[in-house]
Amino acid sequence: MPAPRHPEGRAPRSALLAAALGLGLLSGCATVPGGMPALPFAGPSATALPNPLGPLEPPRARAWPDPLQDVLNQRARGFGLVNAPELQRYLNGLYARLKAEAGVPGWPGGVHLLASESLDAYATAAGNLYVSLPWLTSVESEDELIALLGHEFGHVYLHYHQLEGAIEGADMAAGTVGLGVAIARKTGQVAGWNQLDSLMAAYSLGKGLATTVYSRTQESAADGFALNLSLKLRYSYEHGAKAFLERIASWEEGNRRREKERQDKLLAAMRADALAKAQKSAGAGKPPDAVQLRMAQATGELEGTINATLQGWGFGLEEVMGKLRSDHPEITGRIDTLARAVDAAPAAQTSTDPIVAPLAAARKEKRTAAILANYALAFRALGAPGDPASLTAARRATMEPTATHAVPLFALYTVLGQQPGAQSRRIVDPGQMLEANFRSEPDRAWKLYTVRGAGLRASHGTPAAKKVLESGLAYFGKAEDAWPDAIRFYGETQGWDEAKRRAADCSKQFRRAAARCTAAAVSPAEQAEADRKSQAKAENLIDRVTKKK
Amino acid sequence: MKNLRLALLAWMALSGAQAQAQQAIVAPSPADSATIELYAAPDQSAQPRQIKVADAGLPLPVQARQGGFLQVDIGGQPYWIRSAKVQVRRGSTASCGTLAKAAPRGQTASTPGVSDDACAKAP
Repeated sequence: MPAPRHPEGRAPRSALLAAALGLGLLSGCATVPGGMPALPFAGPSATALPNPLGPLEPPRARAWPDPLQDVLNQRARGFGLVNAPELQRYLNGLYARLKAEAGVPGWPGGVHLLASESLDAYATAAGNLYVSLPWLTSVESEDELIALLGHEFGHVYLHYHQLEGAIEGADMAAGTVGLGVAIARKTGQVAGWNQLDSLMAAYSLGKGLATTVYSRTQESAADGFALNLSLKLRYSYEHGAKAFLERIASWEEGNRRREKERQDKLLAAMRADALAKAQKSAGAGKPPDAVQLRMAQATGELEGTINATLQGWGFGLEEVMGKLRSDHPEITGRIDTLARAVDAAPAAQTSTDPIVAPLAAARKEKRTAAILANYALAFRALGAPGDPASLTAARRATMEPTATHAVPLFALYTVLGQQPGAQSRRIVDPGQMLEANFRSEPDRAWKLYTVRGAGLRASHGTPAAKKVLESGLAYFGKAEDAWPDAIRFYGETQGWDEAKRRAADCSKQFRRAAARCTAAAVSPAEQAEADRKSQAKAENLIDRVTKKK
Repeated sequence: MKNLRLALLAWMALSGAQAQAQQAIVAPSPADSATIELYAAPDQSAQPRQIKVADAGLPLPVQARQGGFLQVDIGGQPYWIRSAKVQVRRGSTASCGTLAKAAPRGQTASTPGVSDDACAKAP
């Protein structure tokens, strides 16, 4: 539940709404079943210590989604995947060892590289593991890499994805219904807020909580699974599973610190804004005298402080809600769980040197090294597109072997957009360079079709943009993540009835994407009306809470 | 061209080193441990000296590594600590930049992954 932002310094009433809803939700937590066994899809308890060297539970039978279709879906998300054959071969070799050790060597799925500069990794029901490039340049040993892949494979082996079916089928778990009733009781008497609203809110929030409890359980189980397999493969705990979790902990700590700094700056700006408004209003068009100025300062400071305090509550609530809704248990808790498990198993405590040579060799392989170097340059250029040095970096990033990769091309396109003077006179349309990506089948990323389409729509009109979007859909049409963008485009160019028709088709074809497709077909006018109603309802609720009515 | 290549190589070496740099011991492991054991040498068979976590002056920059030990400086004296018994802060080459902000949100075919979506609130 993101906290509302009020940079303009208005009283943050919706922060109060968030607080009101949050309180309802927090109070409702008592109705959430205390232990996972109360939920119908419960897995093993998160609190049980994993046995680092014990036998694995037998794998469960399941139907495998098509791994190639799964890869196409992921290529339509964000900036898609990085085509790095030699590096993937190395990673797939490690994955094969994990599968063999788990006794499932024939399971489908491979390792794919996410074109992202964040520390990200996930697994899908098709058995595919997706790992962002910075993981490959950050891990210090193969032990740590095995821990990362082992964790993700753990989600597949432990059949985490059975949850998807429960969500897709709108199968309300017992705990969710209980939570819904609790919120309905607390909010049902508020004018303008009917039982249906309450149940919808409860379902939305409760579903998140139910899946969160399940997800946390699975994260801990996946950590234990990764530790178990990595130790059996003779990798160490301290260089492997422990180092892997410590790197995540450090990454999350850094991001929390940056978020806190951002919030502090916003609060300071709110105070300054309130003060400026108060001074202006005191002067009423004329320069205020000393008394008026002092009064204005006092009023502005007071208003700014009140707003900032309320906003601060919003931030605090956001943090609490974030922790409550977080799919992952506190990272320190995860580290501690593994530490205690290793402490309890002397055979797991043997200290061995990290295995670094195979990882170093994989990184040094000629094409892999060039790909990693070019992506690092592209990320740097995107971080400072106005910097003259970024032009050199971005140009270098679009040289072989990444001349047709989405991220380097997007980086150069972005830098040239920020530094138009740097463009060659021969380049009439810098967006044209993006089309190099369209011509390389293994490198194609849906994102670039949307960027190119938006650019063409502005410069050449809708028909040219439509041609690009439709050529992209010819390739990515079976990927659910392509459709929300496409539906929005059709709404803007062919009317919102057409968008709704396509959203209905999308919802039938991709149940998981139904909500996003429907949202993409909402016209700006409909959105404005929904916002207005929502605001009125929120204000009514706040007035009731604050007893103004 | 040669200078550019050298500059880029130097920059790459620097960014590669980011992941290794600035390692420090930030807590005992498990985190609720009350003491930390200090060794005079990286040898587990030696008798360690115990100090309270509060007296260790965390975070402690890691000076060197050997086997399963980390060397630190406490009060001007070098000591060795078993790395399995402490939590270490580790760098990465990752950032929450433009691409992270452009990344899609919402339900996907994937599991949540190894950690929370740390870039979700990136400014």
